Amino acid sequence: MLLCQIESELAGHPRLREQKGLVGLPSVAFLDAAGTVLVQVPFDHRTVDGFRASGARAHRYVRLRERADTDPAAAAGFLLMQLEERQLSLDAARARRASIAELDAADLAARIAARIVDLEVAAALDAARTAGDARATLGPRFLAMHRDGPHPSPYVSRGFWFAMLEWAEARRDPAVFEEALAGMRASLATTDPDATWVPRLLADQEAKLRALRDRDG
Amino acid sequence: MLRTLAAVSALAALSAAQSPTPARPSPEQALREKLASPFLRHADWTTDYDDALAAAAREDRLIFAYFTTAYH
Repeated sequence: MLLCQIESELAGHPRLREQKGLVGLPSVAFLDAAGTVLVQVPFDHRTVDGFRASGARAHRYVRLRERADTDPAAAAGFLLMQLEERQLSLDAARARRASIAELDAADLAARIAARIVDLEVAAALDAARTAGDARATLGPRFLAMHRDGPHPSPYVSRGFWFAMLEWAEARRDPAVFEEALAGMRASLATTDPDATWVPRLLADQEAKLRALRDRDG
Repeated sequence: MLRTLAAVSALAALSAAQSPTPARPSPEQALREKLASPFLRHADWTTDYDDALAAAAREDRLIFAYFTTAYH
């Protein structure tokens, strides 16, 4: 079923995209018959193959959702999909994870845990935005997580890496800066392998690292 | 007086040199143009959200939704 929703004060449901929580314009998504957004198609997946893959993913979402109440493995799979689609708050995600018994699939459990850590990182970054000097405390906190866990997924907010980079730069610590930069580089290789802005971003950070080393040595 | 005339002439020349700004389409025109888009004619799209929901329920299908705008 193909729906072209034209945002216009002259057409019905002029704020439908906003009501669905879709940010980009244009936005592309698969919805069910109740109007629930199942799967969004990101900008860099808008090819024939990308649309097919997202469609298959939407059907999988529905199958898992149907079985989630009776099948713990399906409940876990559905939880992971909702986390990947950024459909859950931190509290909701924690509650849903707690309601699922121990998972035999270690990989699935780890991926869910990492996505919940992503939400915890996002909440910490949000809190720091409104709490004066709180951002300065995020650098050492995130560095400890990066080293010892709990580890976020590669899709964690880039603020996770930038908080460490800023902290290392303020302390003039090239070793920590390099460690955080390596983490960010590895993360971007998974999340944005072909993005044209990535080389520039990394080059800027590498220049800062060189400056830190020069000052150091 | 001469200075005023010169200033008026300069302004007139400046105005004439500027290329005309294309008129912004009215909301009605923008919506008509969007509805006439080739991609809408080349597949069986609906632009009615409620119709899409009803058809998806009736045919047990998902909705592939493209959210765009009529404002340029």
